[in-house]
Amino acid sequence: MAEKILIEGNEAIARGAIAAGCKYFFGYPITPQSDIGEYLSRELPRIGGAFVQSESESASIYMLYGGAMSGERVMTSTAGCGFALMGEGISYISAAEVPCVLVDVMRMGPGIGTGGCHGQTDYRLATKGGGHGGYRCIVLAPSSPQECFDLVQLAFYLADKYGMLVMVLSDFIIGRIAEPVESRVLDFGSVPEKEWALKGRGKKGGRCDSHSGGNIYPSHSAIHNVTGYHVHQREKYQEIMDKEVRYETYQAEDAEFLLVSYGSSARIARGAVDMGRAQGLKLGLFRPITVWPFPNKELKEAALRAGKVLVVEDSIGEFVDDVEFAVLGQVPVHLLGVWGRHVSGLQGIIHPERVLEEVKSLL
Amino acid sequence: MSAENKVKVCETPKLRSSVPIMHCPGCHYGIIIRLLCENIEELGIEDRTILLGGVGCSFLWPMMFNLDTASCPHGRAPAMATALKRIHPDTILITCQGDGDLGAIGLGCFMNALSRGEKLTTIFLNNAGYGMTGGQMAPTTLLGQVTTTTPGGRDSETSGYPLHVAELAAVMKGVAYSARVSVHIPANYQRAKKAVKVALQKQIDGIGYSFVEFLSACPASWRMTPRECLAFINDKMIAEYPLGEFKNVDVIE
Amino acid sequence: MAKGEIVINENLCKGCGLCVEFCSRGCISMPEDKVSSKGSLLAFFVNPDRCNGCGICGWMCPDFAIEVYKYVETKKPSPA
Repeated sequence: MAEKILIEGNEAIARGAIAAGCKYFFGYPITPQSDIGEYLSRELPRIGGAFVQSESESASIYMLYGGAMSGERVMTSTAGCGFALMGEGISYISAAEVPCVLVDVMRMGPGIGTGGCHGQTDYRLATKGGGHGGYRCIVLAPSSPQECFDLVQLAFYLADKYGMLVMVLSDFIIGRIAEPVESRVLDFGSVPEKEWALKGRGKKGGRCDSHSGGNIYPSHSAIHNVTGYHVHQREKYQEIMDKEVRYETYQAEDAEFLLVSYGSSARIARGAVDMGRAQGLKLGLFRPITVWPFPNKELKEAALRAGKVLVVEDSIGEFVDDVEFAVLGQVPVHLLGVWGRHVSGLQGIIHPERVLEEVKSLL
Repeated sequence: MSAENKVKVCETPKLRSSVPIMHCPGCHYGIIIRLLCENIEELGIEDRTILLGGVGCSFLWPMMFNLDTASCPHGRAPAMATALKRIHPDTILITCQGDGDLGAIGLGCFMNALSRGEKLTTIFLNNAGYGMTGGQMAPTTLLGQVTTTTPGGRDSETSGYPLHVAELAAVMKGVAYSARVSVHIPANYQRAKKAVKVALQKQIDGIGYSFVEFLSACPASWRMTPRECLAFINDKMIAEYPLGEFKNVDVIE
Repeated sequence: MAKGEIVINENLCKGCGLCVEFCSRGCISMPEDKVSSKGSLLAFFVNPDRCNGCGICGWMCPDFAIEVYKYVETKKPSPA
């Protein structure tokens, strides 16, 4: 039986990485996730790994890229504007098809003066890409410290399985909530051998590998032409869309009004479902866990059953675009965003009562 | 002495891949690649060396060696090398970067790798301009030098002063070796080869960061013949960028 | 009397002329009327008697196009 510990979401991410066998972390402090790096700066040297504090996020992502080529499991974590600096590097990593994990603990954006404020405003950057060129990253959105611990391990597995960068999209609230976490090591199955890893040809019987992060010169996938490379990427992404969708529903089967939310907002929405049901309203919640690949089919089915959708997210509307795309205009989609916070200061939060009030106004 | 008994005294190093040198006629990169191959073989580190190139003409370097290699995004080789070295500390990491890669966009990455005292070796290719993109000004372009973005000659008022990277590296505590060399005359090939060997030995011995700056010809950007380039290095570049060792320590206290 | 010889690979030679510049013995020439299949001038080994196998042209060729040989004394067996 795995140990049960009371920890915050950020620490759960750090512990989950170690549980997944990650021994190398390259990162830069930024609120609200500096404690992930701080935890790993203590623990990684103890298990024979390495923690490197880089000089900026624009360096962290390239350390991650170099580390990903080594064949070992490697991770970085950041937030908001730090994440924005990583765009180019994410594009290179995606082109080179080397596995690694990037954790973004969202805060309120745009701009800088929001380190002390929660928000869900990196959704578009994470799922649509902040880097150049057509690439995709799997994006996992935890909603609790337990999910932080579990999804980081899943992230490393998926990264190795498909040869790509996988993101864990947490947020300020999830990062700071403390809940009991069962610290179990999860086994998702075997992953391909990394014979292409850079470690010196002497360790590979003389085999030399070269990585270039481009689709003109050879990557380790050995596809050396523009069209072939892109067709290969598209096939890979299609396989991921077919096989790796994950989501959770709560009382959605007989719901007559569906709340759709992710991350910390999903916790609030879930509270609203409970309140509504206690008052006789048939509310339900659909919570994507993979926001890429997005559960389009499953969400559409649940939305059609319910007939009405309210998206709850702490932004001016990013996640809602994917919900609208999923239902394709067949169900009216409403949004309760930042304006739903109870006060306008930094400490404002959307309460379950406010969500319920919005639901009632739409009935 | 007869023609029936002859020994080969100069041949292509085994470490050279079969990819021909794709640089311009008269570019010195092939010469530098040779001395790097010879050093790696003579030091016996070919099985554990990882070579990283940058962007620009150094982008082609990884293809020239029978080693584990990678091309890195612009200016980021020291960051990528940092990660690889921390993960595989028994490897020898060499970054090969040009003027813009190291001196402009990558200056932050480079200086911070020195600041962290990483055990890496950087070969800096200073040809006073941006070759791959057609001859624009580089941080190392000389005052008065005509480039495609300094058509009237580099003017310090608008475009600053030539960047001296070897001297800059030498003031950093974590640096064990910093030198500037050239290969524009045969005697300098041997001196340059020796400097690179010393640099690699610093990494083998785990002392600190080692750095060798090469003054190199760029006939295409300079709009000169290969022979005229030799004179430009000899007469103009060396006047701005003196050759020699700027730091050489065996212990970093 | 030749003390060495060189072999120039015309598939790799780009006609940069550095070998002509660095050979102190006048053993390499790049005539202006001989053009390679790639459209550049080519270096040729000339005055072979003057070659001393120093190796400089080889190591200074940026294209690894020159191999250099040095002749060695043939050892005669000592009388019984």
